[in-house]
Amino acid sequence: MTQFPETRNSLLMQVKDQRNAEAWEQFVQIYRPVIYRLARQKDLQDADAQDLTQQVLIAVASSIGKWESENQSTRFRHWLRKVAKNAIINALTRRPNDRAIGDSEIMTLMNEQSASDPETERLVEIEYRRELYLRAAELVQADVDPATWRVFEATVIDGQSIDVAADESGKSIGAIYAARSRIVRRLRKAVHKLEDAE
Amino acid sequence: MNSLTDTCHRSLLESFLQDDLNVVEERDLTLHLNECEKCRSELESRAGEPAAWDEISQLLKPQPFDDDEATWHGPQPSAQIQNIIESLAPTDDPNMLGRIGGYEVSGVVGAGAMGVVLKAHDKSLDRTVAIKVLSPMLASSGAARKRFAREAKAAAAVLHPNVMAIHSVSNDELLPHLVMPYVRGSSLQKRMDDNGFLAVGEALRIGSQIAAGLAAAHAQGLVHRDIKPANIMLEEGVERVAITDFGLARAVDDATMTRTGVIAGTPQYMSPEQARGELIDQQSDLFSLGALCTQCAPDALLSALKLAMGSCIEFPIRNRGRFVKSIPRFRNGCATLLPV
Repeated sequence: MTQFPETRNSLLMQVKDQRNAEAWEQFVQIYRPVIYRLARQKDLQDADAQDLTQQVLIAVASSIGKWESENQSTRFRHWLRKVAKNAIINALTRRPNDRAIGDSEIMTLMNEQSASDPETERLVEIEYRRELYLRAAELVQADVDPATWRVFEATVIDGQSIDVAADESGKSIGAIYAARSRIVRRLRKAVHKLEDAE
Repeated sequence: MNSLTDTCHRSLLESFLQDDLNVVEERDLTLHLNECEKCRSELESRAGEPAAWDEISQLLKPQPFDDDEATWHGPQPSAQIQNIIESLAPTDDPNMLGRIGGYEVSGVVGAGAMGVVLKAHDKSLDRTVAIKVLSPMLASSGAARKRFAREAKAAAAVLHPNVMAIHSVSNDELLPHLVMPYVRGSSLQKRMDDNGFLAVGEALRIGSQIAAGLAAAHAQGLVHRDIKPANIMLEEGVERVAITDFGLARAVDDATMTRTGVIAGTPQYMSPEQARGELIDQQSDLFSLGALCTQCAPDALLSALKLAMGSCIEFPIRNRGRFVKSIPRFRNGCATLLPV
Protein backbone atom coordinates (compact mmCIF):
# COMPACT_ATOMS: atom_id res chain seq x y z
CA MET A 1 0.00 0.00 0.00
CA THR A 2 2.72 2.43 -0.84
CA GLN A 3 1.59 3.59 -4.15
CA PHE A 4 2.59 7.23 -3.93
CA PRO A 5 5.96 6.97 -2.24
CA GLU A 6 7.01 10.51 -3.06
CA THR A 7 3.88 12.06 -1.71
CA ARG A 8 4.00 9.81 1.25
CA ASN A 9 7.42 11.06 2.14
CA SER A 10 6.44 14.65 1.74
CA LEU A 11 3.36 14.04 3.83
CA LEU A 12 5.55 12.53 6.47
CA MET A 13 7.55 15.74 6.67
CA GLN A 14 4.48 17.24 8.29
CA VAL A 15 4.84 14.94 11.27
CA LYS A 16 7.79 15.98 13.33
CA ASP A 17 7.55 13.66 16.27
CA GLN A 18 8.98 10.23 15.45
CA ARG A 19 6.33 8.29 17.35
CA ASN A 20 3.63 10.22 15.61
CA ALA A 21 5.34 9.53 12.31
CA GLU A 22 4.84 5.84 12.91
CA ALA A 23 1.23 6.39 13.87
CA TRP A 24 0.77 8.38 10.68
CA GLU A 25 2.36 5.62 8.62
CA GLN A 26 -0.03 3.06 10.07
CA PHE A 27 -2.92 5.38 9.62
CA VAL A 28 -2.16 5.82 5.93
CA GLN A 29 -1.76 2.10 5.39
CA ILE A 30 -5.18 1.41 6.80
CA TYR A 31 -7.06 4.45 5.57
CA ARG A 32 -5.78 4.60 2.00
CA PRO A 33 -7.70 1.47 0.95
CA VAL A 34 -10.63 2.48 3.15
CA ILE A 35 -11.05 5.81 1.38
CA TYR A 36 -10.47 4.24 -2.01
CA ARG A 37 -13.17 1.63 -1.49
CA LEU A 38 -15.63 4.19 -0.19
CA ALA A 39 -15.05 6.29 -3.26
CA ARG A 40 -15.56 3.31 -5.54
CA GLN A 41 -18.80 2.52 -3.77
CA LYS A 42 -19.92 6.04 -4.62
CA ASP A 43 -19.42 5.08 -8.27
CA LEU A 44 -16.16 6.91 -8.79
CA GLN A 45 -13.84 5.34 -11.34
CA ASP A 46 -10.48 3.93 -10.41
CA ALA A 47 -8.49 7.06 -11.28
CA ASP A 48 -10.96 9.42 -9.62
CA ALA A 49 -11.07 7.28 -6.52
CA GLN A 50 -7.28 7.37 -6.32
CA ASP A 51 -7.44 11.11 -6.73
CA LEU A 52 -9.91 11.53 -3.95
CA THR A 53 -7.90 9.23 -1.71
CA GLN A 54 -4.86 11.34 -2.29
CA GLN A 55 -6.81 14.52 -1.66
CA VAL A 56 -8.20 13.37 1.65
CA LEU A 57 -4.81 12.16 2.85
CA ILE A 58 -3.19 15.45 1.87
CA ALA A 59 -5.95 17.33 3.65
CA VAL A 60 -5.46 15.35 6.83
CA ALA A 61 -1.69 15.71 6.59
CA SER A 62 -1.87 19.46 6.11
CA SER A 63 -3.85 19.88 9.28
CA ILE A 64 -1.42 17.94 11.42
CA GLY A 65 0.36 21.14 12.33
CA LYS A 66 -2.85 22.27 13.94
CA TRP A 67 -2.84 19.26 16.22
CA GLU A 68 0.80 19.77 17.11
CA SER A 69 0.20 23.36 18.16
CA GLU A 70 -3.23 23.11 19.77
CA ASN A 71 -4.59 19.74 20.50
CA GLN A 72 -1.88 17.79 22.21
CA SER A 73 -4.28 16.63 24.87
CA THR A 74 -5.98 14.28 22.43
CA ARG A 75 -3.99 11.23 21.41
CA PHE A 76 -2.62 11.63 17.91
CA ARG A 77 -4.15 8.39 16.62
CA HIS A 78 -7.59 9.26 17.86
CA TRP A 79 -7.34 12.73 16.52
CA LEU A 80 -6.27 11.39 13.10
CA ARG A 81 -9.25 9.07 12.93
CA LYS A 82 -11.69 11.83 13.79
CA VAL A 83 -10.23 14.29 11.32
CA ALA A 84 -10.10 11.63 8.61
CA LYS A 85 -13.72 10.72 9.15
CA ASN A 86 -14.80 14.32 8.66
CA ALA A 87 -12.61 14.77 5.61
CA ILE A 88 -13.94 11.59 4.05
CA ILE A 89 -17.53 12.53 4.65
CA ASN A 90 -16.94 16.01 3.24
CA ALA A 91 -15.14 14.66 0.22
CA LEU A 92 -17.76 12.04 -0.54
CA THR A 93 -20.84 14.08 0.06
CA ARG A 94 -19.87 17.41 -1.48
CA ARG A 95 -17.55 16.53 -4.26
CA PRO A 96 -18.57 18.25 -7.50
CA ASN A 97 -17.43 16.43 -10.62
CA ASP A 98 -14.09 17.22 -12.13
CA ARG A 99 -13.04 19.98 -9.89
CA ALA A 100 -9.45 21.04 -9.77
CA ILE A 101 -7.36 20.03 -6.83
CA GLY A 102 -5.78 22.99 -5.14
CA ASP A 103 -4.78 24.01 -1.69
CA SER A 104 -7.96 25.95 -1.07
CA GLU A 105 -10.10 22.98 -2.04
CA ILE A 106 -8.15 20.75 0.23
CA MET A 107 -8.49 23.08 3.14
CA THR A 108 -12.22 23.24 2.52
CA LEU A 109 -12.35 19.57 3.28
CA MET A 110 -10.87 20.28 6.66
CA ASN A 111 -12.42 23.56 7.67
CA GLU A 112 -16.05 23.04 6.99
CA GLN A 113 -17.95 21.41 9.72
CA SER A 114 -18.75 17.94 8.55
CA ALA A 115 -22.33 17.57 7.45
CA SER A 116 -24.09 15.16 9.66
CA ASP A 117 -24.43 12.15 7.42
CA PRO A 118 -25.05 9.03 9.48
CA GLU A 119 -25.25 6.84 6.40
CA THR A 120 -21.76 7.78 5.18
CA GLU A 121 -20.47 7.60 8.72
CA ARG A 122 -21.72 4.05 8.94
CA LEU A 123 -20.06 3.18 5.64
CA VAL A 124 -16.76 4.63 6.84
CA GLU A 125 -16.96 2.44 9.91
CA ILE A 126 -17.77 -0.67 7.84
CA GLU A 127 -14.88 -0.06 5.46
CA TYR A 128 -12.55 0.53 8.38
CA ARG A 129 -13.61 -2.80 9.88
CA ARG A 130 -13.19 -4.46 6.49
CA GLU A 131 -9.65 -3.22 6.21
CA LEU A 132 -8.86 -4.56 9.67
CA TYR A 133 -10.28 -7.95 8.74
CA LEU A 134 -8.49 -8.01 5.39
CA ARG A 135 -5.20 -7.36 7.14
CA ALA A 136 -5.97 -9.95 9.78
CA ALA A 137 -6.86 -12.43 7.03
CA GLU A 138 -3.51 -11.82 5.40
CA LEU A 139 -1.71 -12.57 8.65
CA VAL A 140 -3.74 -15.64 9.49
CA GLN A 141 -3.65 -17.04 5.97
CA ALA A 142 0.12 -16.96 5.99
CA ASP A 143 0.06 -19.30 8.97
CA VAL A 144 -2.48 -21.80 7.68
CA ASP A 145 -1.95 -24.37 4.96
CA PRO A 146 -3.65 -23.43 1.68
CA ALA A 147 -6.14 -26.31 1.65
CA THR A 148 -7.41 -25.37 5.11
CA TRP A 149 -7.76 -21.74 4.11
CA ARG A 150 -9.73 -22.74 1.01
CA VAL A 151 -12.14 -24.70 3.18
CA PHE A 152 -12.60 -21.68 5.41
CA GLU A 153 -13.22 -19.42 2.41
CA ALA A 154 -15.63 -21.85 0.80
CA THR A 155 -17.75 -22.54 3.88
CA VAL A 156 -17.63 -19.27 5.81
CA ILE A 157 -17.30 -16.64 3.10
CA ASP A 158 -18.84 -18.26 0.02
CA GLY A 159 -21.52 -20.09 1.97
CA GLN A 160 -20.74 -23.57 0.70
CA SER A 161 -22.28 -26.34 2.80
CA ILE A 162 -19.98 -28.36 5.03
CA ASP A 163 -20.91 -31.60 3.28
CA VAL A 164 -19.99 -30.31 -0.15
CA ALA A 165 -16.76 -28.81 1.18
CA ALA A 166 -15.90 -32.14 2.80
CA ASP A 167 -16.47 -33.91 -0.51
CA GLU A 168 -14.40 -31.44 -2.50
CA SER A 169 -11.51 -31.11 -0.09
CA GLY A 170 -11.33 -34.72 1.06
CA LYS A 171 -11.32 -33.51 4.66
CA SER A 172 -13.63 -34.99 7.28
CA ILE A 173 -16.58 -32.99 8.55
CA GLY A 174 -15.00 -32.78 11.98
CA ALA A 175 -11.79 -31.45 10.50
CA ILE A 176 -13.68 -28.73 8.65
CA TYR A 177 -15.53 -27.60 11.78
CA ALA A 178 -12.29 -27.60 13.71
CA ALA A 179 -10.28 -25.75 11.07
CA ARG A 180 -12.76 -23.00 10.34
CA SER A 181 -13.49 -22.36 14.01
CA ARG A 182 -9.84 -21.96 14.75
CA ILE A 183 -9.41 -19.58 11.81
CA VAL A 184 -12.33 -17.47 13.02
CA ARG A 185 -10.79 -17.32 16.48
CA ARG A 186 -7.41 -16.31 15.07
CA LEU A 187 -8.97 -13.68 12.84
CA ARG A 188 -10.74 -12.07 15.76
CA LYS A 189 -7.59 -12.13 17.82
CA ALA A 190 -5.63 -10.51 15.02
CA VAL A 191 -8.29 -7.83 14.55
CA HIS A 192 -8.22 -6.98 18.25
CA LYS A 193 -4.48 -6.63 18.08
CA LEU A 194 -4.69 -4.35 15.04
CA GLU A 195 -7.33 -2.23 16.73
CA ASP A 196 -5.12 -1.76 19.73
CA ALA A 197 -2.17 -0.83 17.59
CA GLU A 198 -4.17 1.61 15.51
CA MET B 1 -12.57 -45.79 19.12
CA ASN B 2 -11.11 -44.80 22.43
CA SER B 3 -13.02 -42.93 25.08
CA LEU B 4 -11.55 -39.59 24.07
CA THR B 5 -13.22 -39.65 20.71
CA ASP B 6 -16.53 -40.81 22.16
CA THR B 7 -17.11 -38.41 25.00
CA CYS B 8 -17.37 -34.65 25.07
CA HIS B 9 -14.56 -32.71 26.70
CA ARG B 10 -15.59 -29.11 26.69
CA SER B 11 -12.30 -27.85 28.05
CA LEU B 12 -10.48 -29.39 25.10
CA LEU B 13 -12.41 -27.11 22.75
CA GLU B 14 -10.92 -23.97 24.26
CA SER B 15 -7.44 -25.48 24.29
CA PHE B 16 -7.86 -26.42 20.66
CA LEU B 17 -8.82 -22.87 19.69
CA GLN B 18 -5.76 -21.59 21.48
CA ASP B 19 -3.49 -24.05 19.69
CA ASP B 20 -2.64 -25.83 22.92
CA LEU B 21 -3.38 -29.40 21.87
CA ASN B 22 -0.80 -31.87 20.63
CA VAL B 23 -1.23 -33.75 17.37
CA VAL B 24 -2.86 -36.81 18.92
CA GLU B 25 -5.31 -34.76 20.96
CA GLU B 26 -6.20 -32.71 17.90
CA ARG B 27 -6.81 -35.84 15.89
CA ASP B 28 -9.04 -37.30 18.58
CA LEU B 29 -11.00 -34.08 18.88
CA THR B 30 -11.48 -33.97 15.12
CA LEU B 31 -12.78 -37.53 15.15
CA HIS B 32 -15.13 -36.60 17.95
CA LEU B 33 -16.38 -33.59 16.00
CA ASN B 34 -17.22 -35.90 13.10
CA GLU B 35 -19.98 -37.35 15.25
CA CYS B 36 -20.91 -34.81 17.93
CA GLU B 37 -23.10 -31.95 16.79
CA LYS B 38 -23.25 -30.45 20.26
CA CYS B 39 -19.50 -29.98 20.39
CA ARG B 40 -19.47 -28.54 16.88
CA SER B 41 -21.80 -25.72 17.79
CA GLU B 42 -20.10 -25.26 21.13
CA LEU B 43 -16.76 -24.93 19.33
CA GLU B 44 -18.16 -22.41 16.85
CA SER B 45 -19.71 -20.20 19.48
CA ARG B 46 -16.51 -20.28 21.50
CA ALA B 47 -14.59 -19.24 18.37
CA GLY B 48 -16.85 -16.23 17.96
CA GLU B 49 -20.43 -15.18 18.60
CA PRO B 50 -22.79 -15.43 15.60
CA ALA B 51 -22.41 -11.70 14.91
CA ALA B 52 -18.65 -12.16 14.53
CA TRP B 53 -19.11 -15.03 12.06
CA ASP B 54 -21.53 -12.83 10.09
CA GLU B 55 -19.16 -9.91 10.12
CA ILE B 56 -16.31 -12.05 8.82
CA SER B 57 -18.38 -13.56 6.08
CA GLN B 58 -19.64 -10.12 5.03
CA LEU B 59 -16.39 -8.21 5.21
CA LEU B 60 -14.15 -10.77 3.57
CA LYS B 61 -16.41 -11.21 0.56
CA PRO B 62 -14.60 -10.12 -2.60
CA GLN B 63 -15.52 -6.61 -3.73
CA PRO B 64 -16.32 -5.92 -7.39
CA PHE B 65 -13.36 -3.57 -7.75
CA ASP B 66 -10.81 -5.68 -5.88
CA ASP B 67 -8.89 -6.22 -9.11
CA ASP B 68 -8.55 -2.51 -9.76
CA GLU B 69 -7.29 -2.04 -6.27
CA ALA B 70 -4.69 -4.73 -6.78
CA THR B 71 -3.47 -3.15 -9.99
CA TRP B 72 -3.50 0.43 -8.86
CA HIS B 73 0.19 0.19 -8.12
CA GLY B 74 2.39 1.86 -10.64
CA PRO B 75 1.61 3.53 -13.91
CA GLN B 76 -0.47 1.86 -16.58
CA PRO B 77 1.48 0.55 -19.61
CA SER B 78 0.34 3.31 -21.97
CA ALA B 79 1.45 6.00 -19.53
CA GLN B 80 4.67 4.09 -19.08
CA ILE B 81 5.34 4.02 -22.82
CA GLN B 82 4.55 7.69 -23.13
CA ASN B 83 6.88 8.39 -20.27
CA ILE B 84 9.81 6.57 -21.83
CA ILE B 85 9.28 8.00 -25.29
CA GLU B 86 9.31 11.49 -23.84
CA SER B 87 12.60 10.76 -22.11
CA LEU B 88 14.33 9.81 -25.37
CA ALA B 89 16.96 12.15 -26.76
CA PRO B 90 15.89 14.20 -29.82
CA THR B 91 16.63 12.86 -33.30
CA ASP B 92 17.21 14.53 -36.68
CA ASP B 93 15.37 11.84 -38.56
CA PRO B 94 11.68 12.79 -38.91
CA ASN B 95 10.74 9.11 -39.23
CA MET B 96 12.13 8.24 -35.84
CA LEU B 97 10.70 8.71 -32.34
CA GLY B 98 13.95 9.67 -30.70
CA ARG B 99 17.34 8.41 -29.77
CA ILE B 100 18.74 6.22 -27.06
CA GLY B 101 22.44 5.46 -26.83
CA GLY B 102 23.50 5.56 -30.49
CA TYR B 103 20.28 4.02 -31.66
CA GLU B 104 17.43 5.59 -33.59
CA VAL B 105 14.14 4.44 -32.09
CA SER B 106 11.47 3.65 -34.66
CA GLY B 107 8.70 2.12 -32.59
CA VAL B 108 7.45 0.34 -29.51
CA VAL B 109 7.37 -3.44 -29.54
CA GLY B 110 5.70 -4.00 -26.19
CA ALA B 111 5.50 -3.12 -22.53
CA GLY B 112 5.57 -5.15 -19.38
CA ALA B 113 6.06 -4.89 -15.66
CA MET B 114 9.76 -4.39 -16.10
CA GLY B 115 9.75 -1.74 -18.75
CA VAL B 116 9.22 -1.10 -22.42
CA VAL B 117 10.75 -2.78 -25.46
CA LEU B 118 11.61 -0.44 -28.32
CA LYS B 119 12.47 -1.24 -31.90
CA ALA B 120 15.52 0.70 -33.01
CA HIS B 121 18.09 0.96 -35.74
CA ASP B 122 21.81 0.63 -35.18
CA LYS B 123 23.25 3.02 -37.77
CA SER B 124 26.88 2.01 -37.55
CA LEU B 125 26.21 -1.68 -38.07
CA ASP B 126 23.05 -1.10 -40.11
CA ARG B 127 20.96 -3.61 -38.26
CA THR B 128 17.65 -3.57 -36.41
CA VAL B 129 17.76 -4.12 -32.69
CA ALA B 130 15.32 -4.39 -29.81
CA ILE B 131 16.03 -2.19 -26.81
CA LYS B 132 14.61 -3.07 -23.45
CA VAL B 133 14.32 0.04 -21.27
CA LEU B 134 13.94 -0.42 -17.54
CA SER B 135 10.80 1.35 -16.39
CA PRO B 136 11.53 4.72 -14.75
CA MET B 137 9.79 3.56 -11.60
CA LEU B 138 12.37 0.78 -11.25
CA ALA B 139 15.20 2.88 -12.58
CA SER B 140 14.71 5.34 -9.76
CA SER B 141 16.03 2.71 -7.37
CA GLY B 142 19.81 2.70 -7.46
CA ALA B 143 19.98 -0.89 -6.26
CA ALA B 144 17.64 -2.07 -9.00
CA ARG B 145 19.62 -0.19 -11.64
CA LYS B 146 22.90 -1.72 -10.56
CA ARG B 147 21.37 -5.15 -10.36
CA PHE B 148 19.85 -4.69 -13.80
CA ALA B 149 23.24 -3.89 -15.27
CA ARG B 150 25.00 -6.68 -13.42
CA GLU B 151 22.48 -9.35 -14.32
CA ALA B 152 22.36 -8.19 -17.92
CA LYS B 153 26.13 -8.34 -18.18
CA ALA B 154 26.16 -11.83 -16.76
CA ALA B 155 23.44 -12.87 -19.19
CA ALA B 156 25.36 -11.29 -22.06
CA ALA B 157 28.18 -13.73 -21.37
CA VAL B 158 25.97 -16.69 -22.21
CA LEU B 159 26.29 -17.61 -25.84
CA HIS B 160 23.74 -20.19 -26.74
CA PRO B 161 21.22 -20.44 -29.56
CA ASN B 162 18.40 -20.86 -27.06
CA VAL B 163 19.28 -17.86 -24.93
CA MET B 164 18.48 -14.42 -26.32
CA ALA B 165 21.77 -12.71 -27.08
CA ILE B 166 22.56 -9.33 -25.55
CA HIS B 167 24.54 -6.86 -27.67
CA SER B 168 25.16 -4.27 -25.01
CA VAL B 169 24.06 -2.98 -21.66
CA SER B 170 23.75 0.58 -20.46
CA ASN B 171 23.54 1.67 -16.87
CA ASP B 172 22.33 5.11 -17.89
CA GLU B 173 20.92 7.03 -14.93
CA LEU B 174 17.80 8.12 -16.72
CA LEU B 175 17.07 5.23 -19.06
CA PRO B 176 18.99 2.08 -18.19
CA HIS B 177 18.56 -0.30 -21.09
CA LEU B 178 19.90 -3.36 -22.84
CA VAL B 179 20.22 -3.98 -26.53
CA MET B 180 19.20 -7.28 -28.08
CA PRO B 181 18.76 -8.62 -31.60
CA TYR B 182 15.37 -7.78 -33.02
CA VAL B 183 13.54 -11.07 -33.43
CA ARG B 184 10.51 -11.33 -35.62
CA GLY B 185 8.13 -13.67 -33.89
CA SER B 186 6.03 -13.94 -30.79
CA SER B 187 6.27 -15.16 -27.28
CA LEU B 188 5.11 -18.60 -26.29
CA GLN B 189 2.42 -16.87 -24.25
CA LYS B 190 1.08 -15.17 -27.36
CA ARG B 191 1.23 -18.41 -29.31
CA MET B 192 -0.82 -20.14 -26.64
CA ASP B 193 -3.28 -17.25 -26.40
CA ASP B 194 -3.80 -17.36 -30.15
CA ASN B 195 -3.65 -21.07 -30.90
CA GLY B 196 -4.42 -22.78 -27.62
CA PHE B 197 -2.53 -25.82 -26.48
CA LEU B 198 0.55 -27.03 -28.28
CA ALA B 199 0.80 -30.41 -29.96
CA VAL B 200 2.84 -32.82 -27.91
CA GLY B 201 5.70 -32.83 -30.37
CA GLU B 202 5.84 -29.06 -30.29
CA ALA B 203 5.64 -28.91 -26.52
CA LEU B 204 8.53 -31.31 -26.26
CA ARG B 205 10.56 -29.50 -28.87
CA ILE B 206 10.09 -26.20 -27.12
CA GLY B 207 10.59 -27.70 -23.68
CA SER B 208 13.83 -29.37 -24.66
CA GLN B 209 15.19 -26.20 -26.25
CA ILE B 210 14.39 -24.25 -23.12
CA ALA B 211 16.12 -26.94 -21.09
CA ALA B 212 19.18 -26.67 -23.33
CA GLY B 213 19.27 -22.89 -22.96
CA LEU B 214 18.85 -23.13 -19.21
CA ALA B 215 21.61 -25.73 -18.98
CA ALA B 216 24.02 -23.35 -20.73
CA ALA B 217 23.12 -20.44 -18.46
CA HIS B 218 23.10 -22.55 -15.35
CA ALA B 219 26.57 -23.77 -16.22
CA GLN B 220 27.66 -20.15 -15.78
CA GLY B 221 25.92 -19.87 -12.45
CA LEU B 222 22.95 -17.82 -13.65
CA VAL B 223 19.40 -18.23 -12.41
CA HIS B 224 16.58 -16.93 -14.58
CA ARG B 225 14.00 -16.58 -11.77
CA ASP B 226 11.03 -15.98 -14.00
CA ILE B 227 10.67 -18.78 -16.55
CA LYS B 228 7.21 -18.46 -18.06
CA PRO B 229 5.67 -18.52 -21.53
CA ALA B 230 5.87 -14.72 -21.85
CA ASN B 231 9.65 -14.93 -21.50
CA ILE B 232 10.08 -17.53 -24.23
CA MET B 233 10.48 -16.10 -27.75
CA LEU B 234 9.55 -18.18 -30.77
CA GLU B 235 11.23 -16.99 -33.93
CA GLU B 236 8.97 -16.59 -36.89
CA GLY B 237 9.52 -19.14 -39.66
CA VAL B 238 12.36 -21.03 -38.06
CA GLU B 239 11.63 -23.31 -35.20
CA ARG B 240 14.04 -21.74 -32.79
CA VAL B 241 13.21 -20.96 -29.19
CA ALA B 242 15.04 -18.33 -27.16
CA ILE B 243 14.81 -17.52 -23.46
CA THR B 244 14.71 -13.80 -22.69
CA ASP B 245 15.12 -11.67 -19.58
CA PHE B 246 17.71 -13.69 -17.76
CA GLY B 247 17.98 -12.67 -14.11
CA LEU B 248 16.05 -9.48 -14.67
CA ALA B 249 13.29 -10.48 -12.28
CA ARG B 250 15.88 -9.89 -9.64
CA ALA B 251 16.25 -6.23 -10.52
CA VAL B 252 12.50 -5.87 -10.14
CA ASP B 253 12.82 -7.66 -6.83
CA ASP B 254 15.30 -5.09 -5.61
CA ALA B 255 13.08 -2.20 -6.48
CA THR B 256 9.77 -3.58 -5.31
CA MET B 257 10.68 -5.55 -2.22
CA THR B 258 11.24 -2.49 -0.13
CA ARG B 259 8.21 -0.74 -1.49
CA THR B 260 5.43 -3.25 -1.56
CA GLY B 261 6.75 -6.49 -0.14
CA VAL B 262 5.99 -8.23 -3.43
CA ILE B 263 8.11 -11.16 -4.54
CA ALA B 264 9.03 -10.91 -8.20
CA GLY B 265 8.24 -13.89 -10.36
CA THR B 266 5.01 -15.31 -11.65
CA PRO B 267 2.91 -17.31 -9.22
CA GLN B 268 1.80 -20.07 -11.60
CA TYR B 269 5.38 -20.96 -12.40
CA MET B 270 7.06 -20.20 -9.12
CA SER B 271 8.89 -22.88 -7.21
CA PRO B 272 7.81 -23.36 -3.59
CA GLU B 273 11.03 -21.88 -2.22
CA GLN B 274 10.71 -18.84 -4.46
CA ALA B 275 7.12 -18.33 -3.38
CA ARG B 276 8.26 -18.50 0.21
CA GLY B 277 10.79 -15.79 -0.54
CA GLU B 278 13.74 -18.02 0.29
CA LEU B 279 17.06 -18.08 -1.48
CA ILE B 280 16.70 -19.85 -4.77
CA ASP B 281 19.08 -21.55 -7.17
CA GLN B 282 19.02 -23.13 -10.62
CA GLN B 283 16.61 -25.82 -9.51
CA SER B 284 13.91 -23.23 -9.11
CA ASP B 285 14.08 -22.54 -12.87
CA LEU B 286 13.56 -26.23 -13.56
CA PHE B 287 10.49 -26.20 -11.42
CA SER B 288 9.16 -23.28 -13.46
CA LEU B 289 10.03 -25.12 -16.67
CA GLY B 290 8.07 -28.11 -15.44
CA ALA B 291 5.11 -25.87 -14.71
CA LEU B 292 5.44 -24.21 -18.12
CA CYS B 293 5.45 -27.53 -20.00
CA THR B 294 2.46 -28.70 -18.02
CA GLN B 295 0.59 -25.59 -19.02
CA CYS B 296 1.50 -25.86 -22.70
CA ALA B 297 -0.14 -29.20 -23.31
CA PRO B 298 -3.69 -30.43 -22.83
CA ASP B 299 -4.44 -33.02 -20.20
CA ALA B 300 -4.51 -35.87 -22.68
CA LEU B 301 -0.91 -35.26 -23.60
CA LEU B 302 0.26 -34.69 -20.09
CA SER B 303 1.05 -38.30 -19.43
CA ALA B 304 3.41 -38.37 -22.38
CA LEU B 305 5.03 -35.15 -21.19
CA LYS B 306 5.27 -36.36 -17.65
CA LEU B 307 7.18 -39.38 -18.87
CA ALA B 308 9.74 -37.06 -20.34
CA MET B 309 9.80 -34.54 -17.58
CA GLY B 310 8.26 -36.22 -14.57
CA SER B 311 11.45 -35.45 -12.76
CA CYS B 312 10.83 -31.77 -13.26
CA ILE B 313 7.45 -31.92 -11.63
CA GLU B 314 8.17 -34.17 -8.72
CA PHE B 315 11.77 -33.76 -7.76
CA PRO B 316 11.55 -30.20 -6.54
CA ILE B 317 9.56 -31.46 -3.61
CA ARG B 318 11.08 -34.85 -3.06
CA ASN B 319 14.74 -34.60 -3.66
CA ARG B 320 16.10 -31.29 -4.66
CA GLY B 321 19.70 -32.40 -4.61
CA ARG B 322 19.28 -34.80 -7.50
CA PHE B 323 17.24 -32.45 -9.54
CA VAL B 324 20.02 -30.64 -11.30
CA LYS B 325 21.17 -33.86 -12.84
CA SER B 326 17.86 -34.31 -14.55
CA ILE B 327 18.47 -31.73 -17.27
CA PRO B 328 20.23 -34.07 -19.68
CA ARG B 329 17.71 -36.74 -18.84
CA PHE B 330 14.92 -34.35 -19.61
CA ARG B 331 16.41 -33.56 -22.99
CA ASN B 332 16.92 -37.18 -23.86
CA GLY B 333 13.39 -37.91 -22.81
CA CYS B 334 12.09 -35.18 -25.09
CA ALA B 335 14.15 -36.46 -27.96
CA THR B 336 12.87 -40.01 -27.68
CA LEU B 337 9.29 -38.85 -27.49
CA LEU B 338 9.46 -36.57 -30.51
CA PRO B 339 7.48 -38.11 -33.32
CA VAL B 340 9.67 -39.01 -36.28
